[in-house]
Amino acid sequence: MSSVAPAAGGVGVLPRRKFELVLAGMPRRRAAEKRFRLYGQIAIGLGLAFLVILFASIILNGYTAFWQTHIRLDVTLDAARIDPQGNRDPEALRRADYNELIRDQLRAMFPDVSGRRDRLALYGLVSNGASFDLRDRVLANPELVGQKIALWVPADDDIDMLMKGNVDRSVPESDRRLKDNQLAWVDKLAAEGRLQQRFNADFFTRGDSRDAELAGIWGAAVGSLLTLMVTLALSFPLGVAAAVYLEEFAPRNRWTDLIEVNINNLAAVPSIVFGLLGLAVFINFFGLPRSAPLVGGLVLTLMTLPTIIIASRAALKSVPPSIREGALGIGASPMQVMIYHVVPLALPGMLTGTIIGMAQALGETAPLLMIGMVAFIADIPKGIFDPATALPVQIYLWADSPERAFVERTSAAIIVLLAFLAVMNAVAVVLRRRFERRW
Amino acid sequence: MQPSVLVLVLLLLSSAAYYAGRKRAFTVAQGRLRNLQSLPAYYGLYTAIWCGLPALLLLAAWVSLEHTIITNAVVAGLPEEIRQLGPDRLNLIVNDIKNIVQGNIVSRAPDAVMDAAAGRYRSLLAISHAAMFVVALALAIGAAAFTLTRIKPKQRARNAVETIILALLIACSTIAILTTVGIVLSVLFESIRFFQAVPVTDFLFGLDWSPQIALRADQAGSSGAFGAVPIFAGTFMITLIAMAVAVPIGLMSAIYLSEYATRQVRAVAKPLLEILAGIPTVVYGFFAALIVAPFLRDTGGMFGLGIASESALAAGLVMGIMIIPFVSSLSDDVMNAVPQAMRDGAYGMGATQSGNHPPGDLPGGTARHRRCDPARGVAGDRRDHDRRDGGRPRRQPHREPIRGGHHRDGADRHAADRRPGVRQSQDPRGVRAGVGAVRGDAGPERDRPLHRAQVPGAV
Repeated sequence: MSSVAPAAGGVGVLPRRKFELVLAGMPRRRAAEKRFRLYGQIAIGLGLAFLVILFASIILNGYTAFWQTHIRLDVTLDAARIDPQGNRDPEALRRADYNELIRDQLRAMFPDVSGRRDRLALYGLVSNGASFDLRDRVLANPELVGQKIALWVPADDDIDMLMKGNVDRSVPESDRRLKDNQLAWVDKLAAEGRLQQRFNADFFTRGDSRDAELAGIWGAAVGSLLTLMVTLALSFPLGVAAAVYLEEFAPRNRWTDLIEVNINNLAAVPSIVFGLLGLAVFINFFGLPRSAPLVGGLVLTLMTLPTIIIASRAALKSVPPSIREGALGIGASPMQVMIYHVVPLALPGMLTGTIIGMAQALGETAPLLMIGMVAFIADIPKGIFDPATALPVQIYLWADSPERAFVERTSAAIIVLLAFLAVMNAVAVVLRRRFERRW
Repeated sequence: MQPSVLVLVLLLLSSAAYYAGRKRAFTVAQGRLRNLQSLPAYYGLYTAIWCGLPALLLLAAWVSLEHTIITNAVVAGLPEEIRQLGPDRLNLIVNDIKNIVQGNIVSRAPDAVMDAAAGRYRSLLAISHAAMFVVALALAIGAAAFTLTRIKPKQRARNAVETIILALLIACSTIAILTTVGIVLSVLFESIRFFQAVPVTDFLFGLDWSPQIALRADQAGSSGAFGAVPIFAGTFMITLIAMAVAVPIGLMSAIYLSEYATRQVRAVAKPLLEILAGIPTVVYGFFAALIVAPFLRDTGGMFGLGIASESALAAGLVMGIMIIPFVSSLSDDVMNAVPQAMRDGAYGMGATQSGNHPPGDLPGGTARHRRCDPARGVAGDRRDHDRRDGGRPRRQPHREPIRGGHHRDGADRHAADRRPGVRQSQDPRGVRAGVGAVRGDAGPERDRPLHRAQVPGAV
């Protein structure tokens, strides 16, 4: 650096001083290069770390919801109380007071509990749904009347949380949802082997409920399925038809430009705006029912249409012109070329785009909130006109519930939703890998 | 008769019309197909379309209008004192009548007037459905019969069918415009109503957001305020935080993945990052509320900062994570668009691989220098696979390393990069360009929206 050698005279030869300057700068530049690289690695690491944290926290919070604490009760199905006439009439069996039977059993197990408040606390150990389980069991098998049966009933969600270790016993009693006497009863039940973690089938077969231990995702899953069926039935034909027209038949004029600008704009419209549109047009103007999968499907159709159109156009574009020319050459009309040659060849690409659009629709919450699919709906929807909710909306609803047990349920519902999304995207990837032809 | 049953009947009728039309074509051709202008199936299709389409359109119009008309008729038949009620009260009554008709729970005790109105509604609906059934069936059968009698050997059935199909395609493609118009109108009318109650200036410049309107003057909610500045401020703050998270991470990971990473790392890391874009937003919200917000609150607490659980920090952070893949895919695109000549020029001036990234090249993407970095020797030509489809080998003529002194012209390569799916080397350039010109898609910018729109589901 301190060299003062005179510059060599030749044309095109770097003066020695400058060359040394460049050389001297190299370590610094290499270090900068390394740092830059490191920044890149850190950025990717951060992105992946976020992904891992997201998945880990959801799974760790949620996997326990697939098990539910059950309490074993030995219920005596007293014939005189369930079926006073003795004719096993289903109507009489349905009307019997099973709740009282369960309460009797609980009192018999803890005979020293007295006082109204303590008794209510005792009854609270067992889920509200226990009597319905018992009733269903008796209705399915009327011979049980008069016998003493061992019945596993779901425990209350607080007990469930206690057994899963989510309740801190060291907190002062006044700050706990479970009081000391309840803890003592639970410990006694556990010591007798009457508490067990069983597979939570209710979670997959029931609709929504205010009681966390009875809440399931089946209602929401059916709602999502119906909504997606409407979406698929409308958006695939519409999207493919629009793509075929724009890609193959549309003349290049202002009208076509207007359509294309609109499609590209709609792809960028926030999804909640589609909900506003659905509310104004489908519900208020056409008078379609609120909260119905039909309206949800219509709204999601409009939302996914740009995705499908754009993907279908790309698929059509990738069919080589030689196919078209060959078909035209042997006398097919342009429409015949399209229907018999180009569209079948582009179909895998179109289907891939459609599945990706469906996956997008499955995960969408905001537009469904606007059209009333956010209601509390305990029944399983039976058709596209019934009130329903959808999986992401169910997650949204549960996430608002204050009970600790709903945190677990929400995470479990998210796991199910992500599993559906993963399957759909995997199908799209497989479809693309297997059927997409490269020309 | 339910409309859905009628649709089914019409579909059955029109498939019967298809066979009738085809048979008729054979008959008029006297058994010799070459007498026919079109293939027999087109005569069948022509008949089927005329049988089904007008009737179905009529059905759609009927179903969408009948309830409005019947409601008006029923309201007109209500006693005078009920019709004198304000529109809100009248609406409630109409709702009750509809609930009685559908057998739902009604908000009031049943009375004779309501029951009579409901009975009237029911009978009108029954008449309407019966009339619809008769008219639609008559239209379908009449149109099919008329079309059948018109079938002649020289009739241009294929052209007619194709015109109708083209019209349907055009109708499908205008849905985008209708949607836009619908969005604009539905938002516009509600906004006009809103701004009639609340002055625009109050909304745009008001500092107080407390959206409530009292039903009566003496109610608690009468102090409603609709100043949207807090909302705008919150949105901008969350956006800024999200950008502060997503831009550095997204940009740097795009640069790393496209310039430095080996093919294996790229093939794994890029799809993994794109999973972030496929996760539903509600999951991010739950993640923010459950994990991020308490974490920030506790961390802030350690440093004596009171961070609320609903802070913009948590929301912005999570939104930033959510848009990392968008930022990185877009940056990747832009970098792919930089001509190779620019990179080579930068190397020629002695730039290192990263040295001139931030100041020199980011405006137009970043330089791509690996092939002549003296420190690294000549790297393998990793650019020979298509970025868009996750590392599939790109079939284009192998580019010479710069050492050899001549490489493909940057602009040319650029054009090849931008046409996903179409492989330049496979078709003669003249044909491709000719068809492109006819179809009017020669411009590379028509590919752009595809990539962006595909990102969200690109798990």
